[in-house]
Amino acid sequence: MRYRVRWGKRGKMRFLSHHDEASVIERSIRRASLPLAYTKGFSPHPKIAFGSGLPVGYRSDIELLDLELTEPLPSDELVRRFDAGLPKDMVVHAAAQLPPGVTSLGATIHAADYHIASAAPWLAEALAGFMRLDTYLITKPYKGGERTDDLRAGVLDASLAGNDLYMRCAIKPRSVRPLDVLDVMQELAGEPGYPIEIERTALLTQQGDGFVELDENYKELKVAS
Amino acid sequence: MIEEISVWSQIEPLLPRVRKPAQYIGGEWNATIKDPADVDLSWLLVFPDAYEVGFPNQGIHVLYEILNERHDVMAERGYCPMPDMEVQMRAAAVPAFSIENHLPAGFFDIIAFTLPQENIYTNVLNFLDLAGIPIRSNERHEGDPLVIAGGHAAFNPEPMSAHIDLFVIGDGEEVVHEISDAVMQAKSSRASKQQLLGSLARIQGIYVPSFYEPEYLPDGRLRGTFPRHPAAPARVTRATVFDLDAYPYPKKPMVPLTDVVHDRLAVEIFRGCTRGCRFCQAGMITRPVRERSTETVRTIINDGLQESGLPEVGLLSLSSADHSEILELVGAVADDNEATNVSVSLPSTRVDAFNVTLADELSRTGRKTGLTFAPEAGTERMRRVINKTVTEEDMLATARASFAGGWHHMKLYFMCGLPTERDEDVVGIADIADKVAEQGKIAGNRNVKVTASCGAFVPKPHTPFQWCAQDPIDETERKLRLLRSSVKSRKVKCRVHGGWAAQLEGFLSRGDRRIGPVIEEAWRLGAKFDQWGDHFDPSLWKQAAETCGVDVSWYTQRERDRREALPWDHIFAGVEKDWLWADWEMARAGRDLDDCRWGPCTDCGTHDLGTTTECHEISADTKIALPLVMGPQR
Repeated sequence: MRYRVRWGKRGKMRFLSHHDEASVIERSIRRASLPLAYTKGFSPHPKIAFGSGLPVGYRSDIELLDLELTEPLPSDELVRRFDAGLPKDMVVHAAAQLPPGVTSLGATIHAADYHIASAAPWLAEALAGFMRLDTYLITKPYKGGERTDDLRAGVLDASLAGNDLYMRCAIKPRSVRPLDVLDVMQELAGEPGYPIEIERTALLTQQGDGFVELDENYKELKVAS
Repeated sequence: MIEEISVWSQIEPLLPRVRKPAQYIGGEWNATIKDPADVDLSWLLVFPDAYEVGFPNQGIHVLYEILNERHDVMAERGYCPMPDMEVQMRAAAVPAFSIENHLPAGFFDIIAFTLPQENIYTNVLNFLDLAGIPIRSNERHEGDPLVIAGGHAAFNPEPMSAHIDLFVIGDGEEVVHEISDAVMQAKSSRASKQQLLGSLARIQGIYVPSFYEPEYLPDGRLRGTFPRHPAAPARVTRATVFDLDAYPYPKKPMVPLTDVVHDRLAVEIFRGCTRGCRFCQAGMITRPVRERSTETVRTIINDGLQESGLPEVGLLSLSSADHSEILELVGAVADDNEATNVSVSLPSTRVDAFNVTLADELSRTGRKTGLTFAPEAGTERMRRVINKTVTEEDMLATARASFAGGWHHMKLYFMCGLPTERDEDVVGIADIADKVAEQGKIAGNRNVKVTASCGAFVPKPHTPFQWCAQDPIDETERKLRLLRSSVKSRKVKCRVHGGWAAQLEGFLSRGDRRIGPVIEEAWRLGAKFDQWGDHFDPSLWKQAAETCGVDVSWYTQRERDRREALPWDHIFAGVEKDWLWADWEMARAGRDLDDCRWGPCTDCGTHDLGTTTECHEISADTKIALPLVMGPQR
């Protein structure tokens, strides 16, 4: 039985890495004695599949994960028991059982929306300048070597409304992090510091030429936070 | 109240800029969060190293639970920030903090450091300094926290005696209550720190260094350390908990949110060891053997796994296979966890023919990864000197049984630089590693790997080797080169470590009050994380010793005679000095000594700790056994 779960992390838990959060979640499921399915073989692993890793320091209430149970469980019971085992500031919001054959999260999440609060005033000009560029290449260490990515191509949309900066960034084919973009803008503008409060507000999948929210098809998951 | 004193809002902006920020956030499962306004006394339990190293420490977990069970006390934890975080903290004037409520260390009534080994001393000073607390006891004010320390390194408290207000020698479970009561009493009666120390010094296991004074002979040797305060006993006797079943901790095991070095439910199955390995300080200072009953251990494990969701259980002790009911215990634990993907490991233990059965039992719930033996020395003569009497044939038979049973990787731990060592003993290490590797072929297992690790021996206080000379660095290096070049088998991988780190450990282990200034100077020069290979800088220590006019080799490489007063003579760890001397003479004569659990009582002195039961009443069934550590490979 596959279930899709919407969860979030805030506060101090923002600083967990993706790797940390996976083991925290696995343990809370053990504590909750949920009938989690394991892979067979030499070294059994729990059947949990995460969507897209949330960068360290970001908050979110719209993260998704899929997990497989060995026996069916009502969604609300799954949510209640799963949530009870999580540390404060990690929250399970909703769950829905998936029909057979649903594509994995990893293959369906193509982009995400972010909200950056208290954006600095100088951002307006820097942002406009950045968005006018055709490309902006950055080189980062990657698996022992280096990799060059087009940061500009990964920013699908950006808008500033007062102190609120909204960005839509690609996750596929390459994931772009808003903080990397902010760092570049800060460098272009010659300004110090950057906001630390970044929230991921939506996970998106491509549909035709546009993007739609990933959990559109699962009404149960769309619980107001 | 918490919002007013917590420094979280100052820490938070630093975290996006440091590595592994999760180590600073706290919030572990089962951590206890109290409001300081609700309690009369606050403790900060500090492991003076990185979170990932310090979190698993069992002593802290047990004391944390015991203290937090009291309604009038709160205990939080502290660890050393990594150098990248320290730079940020100093720049932003953020003090050393606790990870529960993120309170500044200076807020607490008591700061308690655990000192598991000696190379951690500079981190203690750095933590105090980061907290804005004067590093020397006599420079601290009435309002500063009481700074205390315990752990195995505290059994020679003298090197840090200028920095620590009081040391707890021995088991902490009961003493922490006595300290809590005394400090609360002093707070409510507004007693001075001197008065408080006076009342604390009367408690068994507590050593107040400022109440003692060393005297030296003209040639620089110690004449003795003498009490200078009416409350100070001439000899401080270790605090000992005799009934471990009365302290069935952890009841609510904490689970880290981020990676730590040992990520498992750790359960102490007994404390103490009477095997009498002469190099082993832990075995000498924790007598007698005090077992937890199988029932208690099972309860702790079953409740603990349910409470924690951890995927692994470690059955801890100095030699876990020596528990009188170990096979039943391991079988029961394996039965209880048959279908849960929980694996069980027995670190710090031993395996032989009997114990291959044990290993197979353990691997029922997990997979067969690696076995680790600690023969410690390469020849039977050398093993008699150190009293770890294992015959070569026993070792090889164990290797064959293990390889035939499907185990592939065997790690072997050795030491070089042991007293009376000759080159043939060093070459013997390579020989035994080669022979163990050959057993794979004999057992029909061609996919065999052997790792032989060899470290430099460091003589420790309260052991029969406390009088002996440590090898100079170049001699250690020569022996380690000889060892490497003597290994023939391609299946054997040799890892060696020695050099300055061992020399420093020896210096700090057997030092007296005169080396305190060297520790301080080394820290001022920038020494910290000295036990981390990539942070340790010997040149700082050489410079510090030179500045202070202290000869490191006088402390490390000098053999002491029977009459010499030792800096820790006024600390009674449970084994009498005369007994240790007799054992040292036997070592030099190449004679071994039976474990008193199956041989006669050797009158080591442990009875004087006040044990009400026989200290050697454990069944003789465990007699067969080889030194070994076992567990999943990392």
